[in-house]
Amino acid sequence: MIGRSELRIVCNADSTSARRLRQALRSFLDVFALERDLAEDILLAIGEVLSNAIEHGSDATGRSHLELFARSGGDDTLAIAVHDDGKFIERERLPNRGYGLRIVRAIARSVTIETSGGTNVEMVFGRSRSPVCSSAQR
Amino acid sequence: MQPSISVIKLTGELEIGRKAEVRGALQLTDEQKSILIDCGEVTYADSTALAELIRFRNQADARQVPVAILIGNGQFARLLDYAGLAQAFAVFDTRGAALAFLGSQTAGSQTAP
Repeated sequence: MIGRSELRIVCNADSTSARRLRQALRSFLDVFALERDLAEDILLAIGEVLSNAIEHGSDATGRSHLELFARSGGDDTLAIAVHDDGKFIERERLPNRGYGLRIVRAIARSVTIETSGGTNVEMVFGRSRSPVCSSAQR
Repeated sequence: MQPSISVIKLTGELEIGRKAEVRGALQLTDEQKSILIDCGEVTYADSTALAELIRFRNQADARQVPVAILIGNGQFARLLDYAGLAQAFAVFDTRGAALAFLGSQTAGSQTAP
């Protein structure tokens, strides 16, 4: 049985950040021995949020940092949050970025977006496939 | 006579850090009459790659240049599914099927993939 596990990374946002954070998250997910497709999907969802944050996550002064926080829940779930310094509403209006959130919502069981003090996107994933998130249900 | 097919090969992880590289690779030229985008060795792709593929496909459509995408693993197919774009591209999991599609398109067939 796996106890409560956490991963927290804070870094500056640049063009390499998404890949480095996905690699770190992949190692964290390895602990849970997830089904391969499910692990890939979680990494995709987080990659989408990270990409958006890197492209548009600067605050008014140009400061740009990312925080990734992942934790396992006792109810067979993983909660993963990405925080950045930007404003979510502005990002949604940009062209060619309309697919990211759609992809995230297709994969995650729930998505919560908070926009005070930057943007915080928290996603909850199952550690196993369920009818809620199976491909046939989408 | 065999139709002329240009192959654009993409490999590895197609994500935001390689956006400019992917855009540079997906450039349409006057000489291209039919294009296979070979993603058989792509290990990860996200909406950054999708946006570039959509841009390229739109340019190709405007010039009536058929485009096929060869995928090598399930991640790319699921990405298209999650984005609601499963029908937006001519996607194949074997090179032979992709080339056959492009050949039929170049020959003037209207057969759907």
